[in-house]
Order: sequence, then structure tokens, then C-alpha cells
Amino acid sequence: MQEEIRKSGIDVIGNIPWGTHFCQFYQTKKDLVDTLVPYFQAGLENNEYCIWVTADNLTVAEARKAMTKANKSFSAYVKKGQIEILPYTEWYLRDGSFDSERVLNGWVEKLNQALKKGYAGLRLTGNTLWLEKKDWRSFTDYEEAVNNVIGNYRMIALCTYSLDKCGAAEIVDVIRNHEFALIKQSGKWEIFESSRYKNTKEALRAARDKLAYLASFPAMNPMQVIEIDMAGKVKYCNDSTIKLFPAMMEKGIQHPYLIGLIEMARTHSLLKSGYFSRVVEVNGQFYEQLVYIVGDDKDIRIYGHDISEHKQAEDLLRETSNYLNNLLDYANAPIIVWDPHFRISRFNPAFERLTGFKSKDVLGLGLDILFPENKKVESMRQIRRTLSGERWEVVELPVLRVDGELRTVLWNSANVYDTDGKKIVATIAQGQDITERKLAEEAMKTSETKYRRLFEAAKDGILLLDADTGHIIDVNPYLVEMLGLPYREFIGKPLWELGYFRDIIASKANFLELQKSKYIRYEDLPLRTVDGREMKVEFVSNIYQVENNKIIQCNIRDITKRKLAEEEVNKLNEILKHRAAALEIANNELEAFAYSVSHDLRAPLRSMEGFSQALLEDCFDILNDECKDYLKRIQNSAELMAQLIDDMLRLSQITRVDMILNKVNLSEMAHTVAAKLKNNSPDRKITFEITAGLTAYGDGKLLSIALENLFGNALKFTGPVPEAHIEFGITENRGQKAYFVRDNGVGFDMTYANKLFKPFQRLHTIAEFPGTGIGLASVQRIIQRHGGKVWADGKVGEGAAFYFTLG
Amino acid sequence: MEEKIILLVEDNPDDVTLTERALKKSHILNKLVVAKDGAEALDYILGTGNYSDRDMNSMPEVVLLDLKLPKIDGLEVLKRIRSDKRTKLLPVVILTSSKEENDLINGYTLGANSYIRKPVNFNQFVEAIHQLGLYWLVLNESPPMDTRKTNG
Repeated sequence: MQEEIRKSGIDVIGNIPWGTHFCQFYQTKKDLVDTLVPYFQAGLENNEYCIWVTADNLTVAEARKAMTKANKSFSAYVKKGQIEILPYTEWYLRDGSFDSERVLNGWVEKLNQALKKGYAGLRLTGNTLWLEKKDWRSFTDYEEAVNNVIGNYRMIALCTYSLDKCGAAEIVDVIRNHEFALIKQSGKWEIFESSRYKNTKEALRAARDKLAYLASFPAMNPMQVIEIDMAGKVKYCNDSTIKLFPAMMEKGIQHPYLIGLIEMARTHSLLKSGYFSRVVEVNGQFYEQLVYIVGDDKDIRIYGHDISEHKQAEDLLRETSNYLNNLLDYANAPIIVWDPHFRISRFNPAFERLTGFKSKDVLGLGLDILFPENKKVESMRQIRRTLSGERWEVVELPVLRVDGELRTVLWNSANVYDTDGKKIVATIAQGQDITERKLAEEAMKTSETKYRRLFEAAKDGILLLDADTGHIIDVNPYLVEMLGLPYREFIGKPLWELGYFRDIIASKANFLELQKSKYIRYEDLPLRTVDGREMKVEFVSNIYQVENNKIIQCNIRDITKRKLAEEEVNKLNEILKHRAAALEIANNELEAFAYSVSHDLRAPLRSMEGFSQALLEDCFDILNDECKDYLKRIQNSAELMAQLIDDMLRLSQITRVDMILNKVNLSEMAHTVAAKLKNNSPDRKITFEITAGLTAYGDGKLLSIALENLFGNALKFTGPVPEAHIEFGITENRGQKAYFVRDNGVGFDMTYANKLFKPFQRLHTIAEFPGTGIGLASVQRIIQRHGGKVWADGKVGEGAAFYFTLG
Repeated sequence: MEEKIILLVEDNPDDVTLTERALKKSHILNKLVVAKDGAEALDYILGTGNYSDRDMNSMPEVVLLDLKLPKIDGLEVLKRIRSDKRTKLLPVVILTSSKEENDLINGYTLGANSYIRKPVNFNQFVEAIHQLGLYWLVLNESPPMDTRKTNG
């Protein structure tokens, strides 16, 4: 065992035992030379077989040169065959590709050969410059394997890695698989130890040292100390062993504790001295055995100790590790782990689903791959804040799926510290896809804003009450202004305490009433504002449910203006009524007057006419023609006046009489009028052309009079014509539908058209055509009362047409 | 033979003259009694006032009644005539210038037998009187009038 500690040759490292597996991160050729030359120098001086595997940045020739420069007797060692310097192509990539098993076995082979030749052990180095990315994984696995077994061999291994080729992740991998690393810091070489490794290895080494010490007291050794020969006979067994395994002496190598040992020993018989270790399970307990081949007889000495706890811990750890892995893999929550350099080291299936990325595609890549281009910097900044130790855990970040869709994810992250609790080894984060929730929130917010605006901007007062307590929950600005009370005076108060609405709800009792009825409406509620203004409002309340709460909403509308307007209207209506009544009275008086007047005016006319006639008859013989003519004129005048009186009376009646509106058949009416006229003028040749089916809505009596006048006129003015042709129908004139009466009479000059409808205006003398000129005035008045218009078209000698519309 | 009397109730003297003339021209030679207002008309018909000693056995054959009368107007006279059992059936012809519908309705409602409008044209007036006379005095069967019977 005293051979176990060896000189490393490197100052900062000092002495190291067999089984040391360490690495160096170099940048320059000088780095390599500075380390490897003294390394191998020490090895050569201490009877160790040396193997130096080079790479392109420090070739075999260069290595040799460097060694020679340091030690003049180098060539002697070379001659002796103690050192091999070969390129990687002949070692790592011997068959063109890296084969982990081949290399591993190769080392052991070399060691065996060395030991056979009488060397103490094997000291080696390998430059990993040749490593491609595709080999990295398998090489790392290989390093791990080396790391696990090298403790059993008399070997010292130094692996050199180019810093230029290693990213942070690679460095971590490397360090993990070596006992320690040699790194240049500020120009000086420093040792960097993997803590996990260090602890375990140290523990184990401590255990072994303890063993070694205890081995010198086999009898009292609480460990198991057993010696067997190659034949399988148990030569010695200490007390502790017998206590533990009473049947040991008896069963020998058949004992479960020793089963398989001889075979293993033989397999490891290439070890002339030294030991190997194994773990056996006996009755559920685990024992680690250090097996030494000792003496010339090649006896096998076994030092064993119970590592059950340790094993359990290991198993537990493994179980836990499995459990955790399963947890991560099957968890519904997306979980991601990244290293202190923000490279993704774990990406569970849930996260794969979230992002569309496959775990294998993102492992080792920077965390920012998940974020959209324009948000990468910001997102990483927020993530970094987590790692800086600031006290916040949750952040919303945009995540860009591999298909381009943008999701919003809630990140909840936590740092994982090393066993000292000082350094962060990783960060684990859980993501939660809240895209839909965010959209809903937005929609909700928009909707809320919309309705909030409604509430705020409404031009009516709105009051919200809690339906159970009657307390005011909210009041809108309009009501605040209307009543002149500040907002805070409303909130939380029961409605009846406000006093404004005392008429509806003077007390809680009233409120309960209010609660029961779903809908209440007060049309005209008097209110008095804070500054004493009187106003009238309309109060409407109804009750509805919002989630689990019942709310009473009261809408209060200021109807003061409206009420005033209504009162105005009522007042005006009253005035109108009075006026109408007064008008009625005036009309009646007028009617009486007209009647009286016409009656009284007729009597003198009768006298005039009568006595003129008497004169004509009685004095026929003594009157000359001229006198007779005078008397005739007196008579005519009297008759004319009588006619005028009648016409005036009729015209005023048309204006005064109440219209009784009905659906009227104009065609039938026209036929009746036509028949009467025909009857009254049997000696005239008249043809009437009356369109059938003409109806209208109006006063039948008045319309009849109108038609009588129009037809009568037509008949009158067709007097000179041999055959009178009078038409009645409906047509389009002056851009609208109008009824018409057309004749083939003497027509009229359009120049005087505006005089046609004026009362007593005539376009001909009495001698030409009889009449007082009232007919068309009557027609116009009747048509006007129906809301229509009347107009005429005529040409002298070519007849006339009279058009009228009705409402 | 008892003479058939015509009672003319008319306030306008011109109209009276003209009516007389018209009757003459129509060769109606019956006795014409003229009352110049409503009161006088009723006195005559009912045998009151100045005519209290009139022989009530001889009632007029027909009464030509104008509507616009002083003291008691025509429609009132008609009413009273119709309300007295003695004169209930007495033929009354309203002879007036009025064409007012109300007068027409009231006249008939109150029991006038006929309603004639006086034309301004005298010839037409003569013709109207002629027709009147012919009808009421010749053609028409006068209702029986037994004034001696006391209908209680």
C-alpha cells in the first residue's frame, strides 16, 4: 500500500494515489507542455510505464522534443521502452472510429503488460482535441466508465481538453467525470474539484483507508476479515465474521458471502498485487468487499464492511431519481431545467407538447430558443432576475411554438443549489400555458370597460344595491351630480338612510317589499337635492343575479324638464280648448246671422220682382218697349241678387259644416250627378265618359256638391257645342295622380287661370254664360277641406280640364 | 155651400199683396183671411182675442203659414195649432223664403203638411200658388172638423 501514493509532477496537485483520473483545460500548446512534461518526468523517474496520446496541436515529434529539452536522459527511457508517444489516430480512432470498449480494454491491456514487465503501474495522458460533436456523448460515457473503474487499477490518467472546443456544458460534463480539473485562472493553474465526486470518492477513500488500518487488527476488526486459498478453503475468519456468519467456516466458498469470489479473483489475476472490490448481498444486507491477492501462495484476503445503509441510500437515491424522472416525464405540468449558463438540460414531455419542440432537439441549446425573436432579450432578462436571487418567482412570458404560434406562458422557477447551499447548479421551472386565460381576461376587460363606460357615461342616474342588505354598492357619476352628493357619501349606506327616496323606501321594511317585487316604477317622484333644488324624477328598479349575488339596479331619470314641458302642453291645450269653444260659439252666431240675413234679404227682392211683373202685366198697354225693358232689368237684377244670396249662403255652409269622412264611390256619385243634369236638360245632346271604380275617402255630401259644380260648369260651357262630351277619371298631371273633369266646350284663356277659383270672379259676361262665379270657388273650398288641390288647364275653343287631388 | 177659407199668416204687406195677386191670377176666388202676426193667427184659429166671437164652425180650408213672424213665430203657431184638438188636423202649408234644413225638419216634425219655398220670380210664385190652390182646395179631401163635439 505504501506504493499507492504517487508523485503527480505537477506542483499545484502534489501527490496522488493510484486510480486518480483528472483532466486539464488548456488553451495553448505551452499549457500542455507546462503540465505534461513534468507529469511524465515524475512518472518515468518513479518506474511507471508512460503512454502519451497526442493530437494535432502537439504532435508526437513536438512532444518528444519537449521531453528531451527537459531531461537529457529522456532518450534512455525511450530506448528502455518505458514510454510510448503515439498519435490519437493510432489509439482512440484506431479503426477509424472511436470505440469505447476497445479503448478501455486497451488501457487495461497496457497496464497488464506494464505490470508484467515489472513497472509499478500505468501513467497516461490523452489529448481530446480530435473529438467531434457527434462523438461527444459516447466519449463522455467512456470517461464516465473510466472514472468508475480506474479506482481499481494502478493507473493515473490525465485527459486534456481544449478550452476553445469546450462550451460551458461540455466543461461541466468533463468535470463531472474526473476527480478534479486543472484550469488556468489569472495566469496560474488551479484545481477545480467536482464536489459530488470529491465527496463520494473521499468518503470511499476514507473508508478504504480505515479498512487498511483496521486490517492490521484482524481479530478485533469489526469488519469482516477472511482469508481463503485459491482452492476455496477458508484459512482464516475473524470473530466479527463468525459472529455475523456462523456458517462461514463450514460452508466455505459456498457461503453466499463468498460465492463467485474465486472466479472473480481468477479473472482479476492479472493483478499481481493490489485489490479489487465488489459488493455482495447477504440476507438483504449489502457488503463491500476489498479483495487482495496476497503472498506467494496467492491467497485471497477479503476485507468486507457493511454498506447497507450506504447502499440503501444509493438505492433510495436511484429510486428517488427514477421517481423524480418519472414525475418529470409524466407530469402534466411542463417542466424545464436549465444550467447556470441557461442551457436547457431537461425538457419534459409536457413542455414538448406546450412548445412543439422535441426534448432531444433543445437539450444543450440556450433557453432563448423558446422565445419569439423580438422578445428574446426581454424574456432572458426576466429569467435572469430569477437567478440573481431577487425575490419574485412568477413571470408571464411569450413562448413561440415550433409551428409559429405564440402562446403566453406563466413561468414559476426555483433555483437548485449545491450541498453547500451557496452555488446554483441548475434552475427548474414550471410553465403554465395561460394563453386562453389571457384572451378571456382581455375580452373580459374589454367587456368590463365597455359596460363600465356605459355606467359612467349614462345620462341617467344608476344606483346599484346589494339585494340582501339594501346597501349601496355603486353609483354612477350622473347621479352624484344630479343629487349633489359626493360619491363616498353613497357607498355602503342603506338606501333608506339617504332620505331622497323616502317616498319609496323610508325604512328597511319598505326595502324588503322592494326586494320581493321584481320590478318597481315610480313615474313622478319629487326629490330635493343637497343644495335645495326641487326636481321630479322617474324611479325604476329591478332585481337581477350576477354570479352568486343578487343586485337591485335603480334607474333614476330627471324628468323635471319633461314635466314642465308636459305642464306647458297641458296649459296650451286648455287655451286651445277655450279658443275652440269660443270659435264654435262665433261660428254658431255667424250661422244664425247668415240665415237671418239671407231670409230677410230675400223678401224685398220678392217685392221688387213681383211688383215689376205686376206693372208689366197691368200696364202692358201703356208702357212702351223701353219701359218694359227697364222693368225687365229690375226683375233680372232681383233674381240675380237672390241667386247671389243663395250662393253665398251655400259657400259659407261648405266651410262651416262638419265633414263626415267615409269611403266614397266617386264613380257612382258622378253617374248620379250626370243623370240629374241630363234630366234637367232634356234637349241637350250630352255624353258622359266616367271611369269606373274610382273611390276616395272624404265627405260624400261635399264631394257631391263639388262634382255637381264641375259637371254643371262643363255642361254650361259646352252649350255652344252640338254634342257635349264630358269626361271624369283619374290621371297624372303636374307630377301627381289627380281626378279630372274634362269637357269639349269653349275652354278659357290660361292667362286668367288664376281668377278661375276666386268667388264671384267670372271670365264671361252673364249674357254669354249665366252664373254668379261661385261654382269653382265652392269646388276649391271643398277640395281644400279635404286637404287636396285643384287646378285647371284650358285652351280657348278647345275645351277645359279641371284636376283635383284629395288629401 | 160653405165657403172654403184660406188663412194667410204673413207679416210683410208686399208679400200679402203679391200673394193676393197670385191667387187672383190663378183664379182662386176663395175668401182670404190675413193674419199679420202669430198672435193674430192663433186668435183667429182658436177663436180667442179679437176673434172670440168668430163662428168656430167654419175653419179655414188651409193655412198658409210664414215662419218669420212678429210676436209669435210660425213654428210656435204650428205647434199650438197641432196641440189643440179642434185644430189638430187642420192642413198647414209652410210658405217661406227659408231653405234652411232646420226649418224644414222642424216644420215637418211639428206637423206641417207641406213646405213650400217662396221663389223670388213672380211668375214662378204664381205657378206655385196655382198648384197649391188646386191641390189643397180642390183635390185634397179636407179632414172632418166637428167643433161642436167636445172631446174631453
